[in-house]
Amino acid sequence: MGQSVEIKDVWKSFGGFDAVRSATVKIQAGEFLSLLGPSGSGKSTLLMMVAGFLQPTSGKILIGDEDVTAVPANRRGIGMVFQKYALFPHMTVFENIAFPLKMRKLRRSEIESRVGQALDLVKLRDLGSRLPIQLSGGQQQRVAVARALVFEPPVLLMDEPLGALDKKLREEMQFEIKNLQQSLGVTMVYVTHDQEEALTMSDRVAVMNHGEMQQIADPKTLYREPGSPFVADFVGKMNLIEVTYVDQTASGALLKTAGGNRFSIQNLAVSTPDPERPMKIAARPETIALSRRNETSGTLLEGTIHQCVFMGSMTMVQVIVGPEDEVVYVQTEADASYKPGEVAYLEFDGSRTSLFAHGPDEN
Amino acid sequence: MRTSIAAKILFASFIALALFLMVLPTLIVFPMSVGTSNYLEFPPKGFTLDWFVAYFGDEEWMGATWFSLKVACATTLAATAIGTMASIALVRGRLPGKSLIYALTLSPMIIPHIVIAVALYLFFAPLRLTGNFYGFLIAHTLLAVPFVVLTVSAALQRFDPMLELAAQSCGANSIQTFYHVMLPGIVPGVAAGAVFAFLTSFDEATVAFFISGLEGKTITRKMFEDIDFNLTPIIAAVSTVIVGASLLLMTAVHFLQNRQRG
Amino acid sequence: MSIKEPHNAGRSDSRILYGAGMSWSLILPWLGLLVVGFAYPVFKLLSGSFFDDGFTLVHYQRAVTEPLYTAVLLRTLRIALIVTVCALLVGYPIAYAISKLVRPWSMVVAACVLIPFWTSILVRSYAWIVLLQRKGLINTLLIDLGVTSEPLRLLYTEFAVILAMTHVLLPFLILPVYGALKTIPADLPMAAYNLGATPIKVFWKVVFPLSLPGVFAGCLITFILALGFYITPALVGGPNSLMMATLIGQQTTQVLNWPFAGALATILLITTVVLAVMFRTLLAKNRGFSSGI
Ligand SMILES: Nc1ncnc2c1ncn2[C@@H]1O[C@H](COP(=O)(O)OP(=O)(O)O)[C@@H](O)[C@H]1O
Ligand SMILES: [Mg+2]
Repeated sequence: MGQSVEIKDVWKSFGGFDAVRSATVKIQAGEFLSLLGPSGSGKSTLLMMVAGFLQPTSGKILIGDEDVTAVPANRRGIGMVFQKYALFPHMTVFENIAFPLKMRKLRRSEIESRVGQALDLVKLRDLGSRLPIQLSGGQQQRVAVARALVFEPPVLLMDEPLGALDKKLREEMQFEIKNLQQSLGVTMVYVTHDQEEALTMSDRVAVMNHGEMQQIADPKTLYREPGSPFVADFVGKMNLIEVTYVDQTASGALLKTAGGNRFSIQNLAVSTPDPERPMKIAARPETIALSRRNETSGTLLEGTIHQCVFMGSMTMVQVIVGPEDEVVYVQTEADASYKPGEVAYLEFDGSRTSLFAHGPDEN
Repeated sequence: MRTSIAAKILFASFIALALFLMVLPTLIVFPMSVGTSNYLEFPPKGFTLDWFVAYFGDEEWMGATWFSLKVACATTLAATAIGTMASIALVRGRLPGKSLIYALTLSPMIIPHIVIAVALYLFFAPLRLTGNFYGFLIAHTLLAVPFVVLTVSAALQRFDPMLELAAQSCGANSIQTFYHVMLPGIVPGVAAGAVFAFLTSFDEATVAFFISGLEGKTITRKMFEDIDFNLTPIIAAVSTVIVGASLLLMTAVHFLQNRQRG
Repeated sequence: MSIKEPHNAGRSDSRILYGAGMSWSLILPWLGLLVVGFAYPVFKLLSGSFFDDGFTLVHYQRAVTEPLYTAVLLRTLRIALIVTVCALLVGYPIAYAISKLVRPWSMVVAACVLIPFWTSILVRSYAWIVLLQRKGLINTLLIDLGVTSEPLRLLYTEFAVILAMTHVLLPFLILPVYGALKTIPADLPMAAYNLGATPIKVFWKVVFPLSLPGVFAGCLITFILALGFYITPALVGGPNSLMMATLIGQQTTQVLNWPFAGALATILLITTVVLAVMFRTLLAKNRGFSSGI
């Protein structure tokens, strides 16, 4: 069974550069937590500290109730799957999986039965005598998972484990890894820069940027209520439009784009109605309604159709608003037929649109 | 077009001649070692194996040969161990001033051997380490380690550090990680380094010339003396044996390096 | 929204796996040997050259003023230079041939370079004695060809020293030049042909300039090794071709003038170190140069 992992105010700096800043999170036993963020955001560094390969500059790491900050990697008993699998090239699949058990000095017969079980678990029963180079990428990935699981670690770490696989295989493996994790009840810390992967697999996602954990939340909350423009932009497709607040009217909050276009949004929560302050609204493409005529009582945002992209189950329409060629993505039914150059109106759903004050720390 | 063909033929002949002159001195010792004449005649006349018999029957020659082999084997062991350890520290370790240490490490290769030879002679003589097995071991290990560091650190640089992390995450400590994971990965580099170490010691002449004694004398020193004062075809027989062994080793290294790349 | 594959994925400090304590204990045996068997003896030899009942520069003065010794210094420089030039003239075409030929011919040529490289220096010196002596192969050939009627005195001359040293040092020049030639992308000369250059022009305008870093590296290492050469000049040279290394040896074991030997060693050492530092900077440049390819 899994054990909880607690990261308490962990910092890591490399010669004055803070790669991880004050990371704090408590991962419950059996929970699947993803670290999501762009390249260089400090995900691997944080994971390496949990694994014990890197020493935090300050802060504590607890597994269960035990402070393991000073425990070396080989005695933390944590399983780990590396991005390029890191299978030992000179050992067979069997020997690779047996390695952690050999290090724990288990009896030969015990090792054999447990490696057999692990091979069954990842559906590689007949490949025990192969060398890693004789396996496909997906098979190597499974061996790496089996090796990390065979000694029944309470915690499993994975650093972009599917990064080297093609899309179809990746989706298949996401499913299998998630199933394995759930059936074994092991606590998982999973690093990825792929937001879709994080959303589909995780119980909770910690979004990292510039070494900071920006938001820790379950996928739904993260998607619907992003805590910062960065999270909003990074998770899912998101339109971010610079606006200033004008007034509260009968048809909702009246806003003005940078280009001077006025439009109103019903039911938009405005915490600081300050006309001086530049702000950003964040709206997902599926929450915006597109129409040819301005028929509602309120003022809709006017735009010009730029392009329509048919995507199977729907069509993504790119609408230019304002003089700066700012593009807003709107999701419509699959057979919507807008022509480039046509004028159209955007209607925002206030309950599914967020408003952020223009802070200094965003991009 | 014609001139370019003529130029090509000219170029090819030049290369062929140059190559012939390059290998000639190595190849010439074979016929020399089986000629009957006592003098340095070329081409030699007749056929005899007497010079080999003389070499293998001569106590002094055999003594020098065994001494050289003993020193070379011990040097190989010492230099391979010391050099491999140093390479790990230099490639994977946390050391201040790494590039300085690296430059220092390679310096015995660049500093003229005569300087090392004279310095060691003056250092060893009062300690009675001239003509001494341990004196040679120190001197030759010093000269051989740079070669080991070159080959082993090249192998280490190619070796994926993630494999070491993987071993540790499997519960292996540093020694187990080295033995089970790193060593199998770099063994061709270590083996090539060992061969270089052996040859460096066995073939070393300058330092050996100065720190040899009446008792402890390497085959190179013995050859130097005989070439200088007592030139007989035994030298050709000895040379034949040495060249034969070196060519075998060269082939071995060739295969080792190919295996490492492959 | 597409995110590029992070090139440092999982890298975080991963090349450094051993802490300071472990690293020091791994390298300590070697550092100990370097100090005891190298730094200390060499330092003693060098520092001894400055003392003769107190600090003095008299040994250096002797080395650079007494005609006997200045002659040796200048001869050493001259021979090293000639050997380097000869090695370049012979070695460059060979390196070029290896880089141009296809298997198995390139292997044959490479073997011809590596065989002498792996042959004991004493064997090679001995072989040159056999070849160059009065009744040796070269004299026999010269007489048969009618070039000369009397056997020439070749052995124990400066000519013999230069010939044998060139032979011994050739591989040290060929290997770096070959390394540089190999990194020239094949399409560069092709492009030049395509633009209408003749083969000779292509060589001088494209191939040769691009191989220069290897040429510099090879020449410098050949020159450095030639400066300190001991065995070959001692065996095939005579009193009129005495070189630095042999002189240092004589001063140490025969004349027993150790401070003077130390002074000569210091001069040789400093020359070498200066050249080696140049060599390193060149190598660094070379790497920067070829890494873009
Ligand atoms: N050993 C190191 N020395 C210096 N900087 C490092 C080191 N390891 C990582 N970094 C830096 O720390 C930041 C975070 O790196 P990393 O954790 O690998 O990011 P991620 O895995 O999110 O892509 C990056 O800017 C990276 O360059
Ligand atoms: Mg990473």
